[in-house]
This record gives sequence, structure tokens and C-alpha cells, in this order.
Amino acid sequence: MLEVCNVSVTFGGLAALSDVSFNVGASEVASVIGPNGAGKTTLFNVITGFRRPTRGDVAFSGQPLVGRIPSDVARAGVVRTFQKTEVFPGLTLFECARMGSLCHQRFTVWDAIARGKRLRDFERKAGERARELLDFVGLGGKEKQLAGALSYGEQRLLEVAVGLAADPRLLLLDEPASGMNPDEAERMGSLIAKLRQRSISVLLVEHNMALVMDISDRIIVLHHGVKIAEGTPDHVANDRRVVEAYLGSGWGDAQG
Amino acid sequence: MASSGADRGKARLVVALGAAAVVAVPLVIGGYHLHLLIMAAIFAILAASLGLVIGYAGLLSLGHVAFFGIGAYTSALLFLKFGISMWWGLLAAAALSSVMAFLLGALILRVRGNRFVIVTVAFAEIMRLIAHNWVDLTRGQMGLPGILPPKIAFLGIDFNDKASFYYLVVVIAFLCIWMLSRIARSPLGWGFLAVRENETLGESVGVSAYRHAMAVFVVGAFFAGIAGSLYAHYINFIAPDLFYFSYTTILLVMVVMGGLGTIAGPVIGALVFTLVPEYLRVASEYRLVFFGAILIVGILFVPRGLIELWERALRALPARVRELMARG
Ligand SMILES: Nc1ncnc2c1ncn2[C@@H]1O[C@H](COP(=O)(O)OP(=O)(O)O)[C@@H](O)[C@H]1O
Ligand SMILES: [Mg+2]
Repeated sequence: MLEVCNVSVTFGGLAALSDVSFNVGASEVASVIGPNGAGKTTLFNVITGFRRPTRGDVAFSGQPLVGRIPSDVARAGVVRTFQKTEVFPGLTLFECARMGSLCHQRFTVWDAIARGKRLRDFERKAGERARELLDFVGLGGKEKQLAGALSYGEQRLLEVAVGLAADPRLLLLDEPASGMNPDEAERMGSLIAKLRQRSISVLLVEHNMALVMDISDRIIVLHHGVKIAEGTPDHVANDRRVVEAYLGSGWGDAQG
Repeated sequence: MASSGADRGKARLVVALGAAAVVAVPLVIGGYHLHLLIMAAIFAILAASLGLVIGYAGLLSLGHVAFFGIGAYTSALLFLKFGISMWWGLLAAAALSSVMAFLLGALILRVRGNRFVIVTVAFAEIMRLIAHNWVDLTRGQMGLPGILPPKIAFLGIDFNDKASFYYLVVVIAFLCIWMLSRIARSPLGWGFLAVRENETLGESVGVSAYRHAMAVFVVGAFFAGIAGSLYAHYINFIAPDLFYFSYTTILLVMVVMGGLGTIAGPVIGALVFTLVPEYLRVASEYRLVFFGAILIVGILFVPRGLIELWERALRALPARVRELMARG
């Protein structure tokens, strides 16, 4: 479904990504791991239109994504969350969770004034869907709270609901469990596993190895912007280069 | 559910009383007081439209007065050069203001933030200079006199009469504010909120920041243009000082003190800050100081604005009315 083809990104002289290629299939959970600075977030930025690659192509279901703005990429079915938590702090959870519904329908000023059937139906469905998604991520009953007032862990769950509202076919999660306690991380893990049942593919960046090993179908390992391994969790865990890269870079410290 | 029914009853009562008061006003007061109410209604349109831009989309447009001025000049020149009445002038004013906003927006709305703020200020100043220096068209500093209000000949109504103009401006203001409220709470309005709250996140879930910023900017200019046209035909005279930054300050006070993120707030702000300084007889040379001071005090102590007081009043007032009725 997602095809990343020979993608390179350089910042000045620094190669953040060098010639990276891989695919993500339908209803697959793929993970990208690698030490800090390996280029994982840069990869997400390239896929979702936040950064143009220096070279290379990205396609989703055959449509090219490079050169499109993020909202356009989202409309194509690819939505991401951010490493640094991003919510709409001044809006209620309900308002946050229905925002993504705007992804696939546009309304003009005239539609807004006329309030025709399409708009009213949309409002009702977006509202129902927002409630359903808040329930799904475990924030049901908090619809009226302000997103900015949530705890850190709850904000990370909200981010998933906000992303899902855009009805993605591929969801990119950038360290969704970072800073979470083990309980919360486990909840996030089971949430991600449940996405598969909704026929949503996931590309996950995460430092919590237990989580990654547990839910990934496939793991891609980046090191200094280079893909050094790819395969099933077992295969990757026993790869000599992966182990070396991690030992060499003080991976254990970075895990936090 | 029962309480929401009661609330609706209350709201209806308030609306009915309010409407009766609005209709009765010219029968009770006239002259200068009526003049102030007309000005307040024009400012209500202007403040509500800026409220959508600043309060919903978070775009700090400090050049909103430019669209007011463009509307005023458009309508005035159409009337003076071609004898086109305000009915068409109003629409032309709204249209030209929107087009100008679109062009300016296309230039600056892809990159928002500080640069946007500065460009909007500069835009208003450029418009003022054009009005000032294009003497052949605008008569420059001498201004344009003789911009008459419209008539409805076959009904024998001439809006040159203050009471008639009052009704006209109230109806138009009501329509404008109603439309602005609908836009604000529509899905399009959610998109404005995404731009204000976190445009990066909005983009990532498919809400185009540029499209929504453009929409709100153009809509704001549209209604500012209408306000400008009404102003020109009511005062009968306009000059380049319409574009002064001082009007922007007053508008900001109305919007911010009225309540950001609402439409009713700026409307209340417009009423309060048109009427209060007049009745307090704040000398005009100190008026800007007065507004500046209010803005600072307000931001510090009433962050949610007058709308908060109004909401409390709405809840309290009908209860008292009901009490009285129960006693009677
Ligand atoms: N906007 C940028 N400008 C310059 N260098 C950057 C920028 N973004 C990331 N980098 C560099 O690219 C490399 C990869 O960063 P990043 O993709 O954030 O890594 P990761 O997410 O794997 O920790 C790092 O060396 C980082 O310093
Ligand atoms: Mg990162």
C-alpha cells in the first residue's frame, strides 16, 4: 500500500536519510526503530508531506505523495501523529475528535449559511463518530473537557482519536508511548493492535521494545539514516548489525 | 432535557423583549442618541466580522479597517460618479473588499504569524495613502461629500430620515451577524478553530490551514465592506482618515473585550464601546488613551470578555422575570 522508494534527505551536509526503501501492506503493523537521530521522524515528515525528500519517491495505493501538502496527503488516506504531543489545547475533546471528519468533506461559506441537508448530516455523523472514537481510545465520558487540561498520557490517546477521525488507511505514530508508564504503554499497545481490525495499517516509531516486538508484523531498522535491517521481530532481534548499532550508540540510555 | 426546554423558553422571552425594545427605540429617543445606536450597529457588523478572523481563526489582522474603508469608498464612488444607489453599492462594496482580501491573502496567508500581522498594518496604511493621494478619484484630504442614503420610491421611504435608517441598519446588522454566527459554528468554522489552535495538527488530519485562513479572511472583509458602505451612506461623507490605525485600536477593544471566540461578544463590545465613551463624555483627544487603558485592564482582569457578564445576565434575568410573574 505504502511504497517508500530510495528516499534521501540531507540537511546541509548531514544525510538524515540515505536511500531508504520499504513497503507497508494492507492491515499491517510495521515499525521503524533506530537510535535517536536515526532519521525516523524525518521519514515520517517525508511520507506525510511535511518535508520534501532530496531524492526518492513515496506512493500510497499507487498515488504519488511527494510534493503534496500534508492536508492533501491526509485526504489520500495517510495520517500521522507527532513525537512532541500535539492537540488542540483550547478545544473540548469532542471538538478535537470531530475535527478530522473535515478531511473528506468540504463546505463553502454558502453551505455554512444555508445549513442544507448535507451539512446537517455531516455534523451529526461527525459528532457520533467523535464520541465513538473517544470511547475507542478510552476517553469516553470526557467529551466536554478541554484537551489542554488532560494528563500527558491522555493527550497521547487523544492524538490517536484525532488522527482516526480523518479515516486514514495508514496511520503513522511517532513514539506514541514515550513518557508513558507501563500500564499506559500497554493500553496504547492494545489500541494499536485493535487498529488492524479496523483495516488500518500502522507505521510505528517507538522506543519501547517490548511494545514493538509484541505488535509488529515487520520491523525496519534505521541507523544514521540508512536502513540496516528489515524483517520479522525475531529476525531483527538476532541481526548482528542491529545489535552492534544499538550497543555502539548507547541505545539502552536513549530508551528512557 | 426539562431544563433545556426551560432555557429555550427563557431565550425566547429575552429575544422577544429585545426585539420589542429594538423596534420601539426610535419612538422613544431620537437625534443624537439614535445616531449613536446607528453607529453602534455599524460597528457591531465590523467587530463581529473581525471577531471571526481574530477570535475563531486566531489571525491577528490589524488591517481590518482597510476593508471597511474600501467598502466605504467603493459604495461612495459608485454613488457619486454613476448615481448607483446604496442597494447595489453595498453589494459592490462587499464584493470588492472580498476580492482585495483574496488578493492580499494569496500573498500572505501561506505564511502566517508575525509577517501576516505586519503586512495587514501596512496594507491599511497603503490604502489610506491611495485614498489620500489619488486626488482625481477621491478628492484626497478634502474627502467625498454628498453620499446620500437610498430610497424605496414606490413605498415612499427615504432613508435620509434617521429613524428609517436606524431600522435599515438594524435589519442589515442582524442579517450580517446571523450569517457570521452560522459560519462560525459550521464545520467551516471548526476549520477556523484548527488554524487558531494548532494548524500543523489540523493539516495532518486533512484540514487545510491555507484554505480556512483564506475563507475567514475573505468573509471578514466581505462584512467589513458592508459596514463601510452603510457608514458612507449614513454619514454622507468620507475621507482618508477612515483608514487610520486608531480605528483598529477601537475595534480591537470591542473584539477582545467583548469576548474572543464568540460572535455575540464583539457585538456587545461594539455596543458598549460605542455608547459608553460618548455618555461618559470622554474628550476625543483622550479617547485612544481611554481605549488603550481598557484593553490592558480588560486583558488582565476579564480575560473572557464582556460575553461572560452577558451570559450570567441571560441566566439570571429571566428567572427574575418569572419570579415577578409568579408574584403578579
Ligand atoms: N529541520 C532539520 N534541520 C537540520 N537537521 C535536522 C532537521 N530535522 C532533523 N535533523 C537531523 O536529522 C537527523 C535525524 O533526525 P530525526 O529524523 O529527528 O531522528 P529520529 O526521529 O530518528 O530521532 C538528526 O541528526 C537531526 O539532527
Ligand atoms: Mg524522532
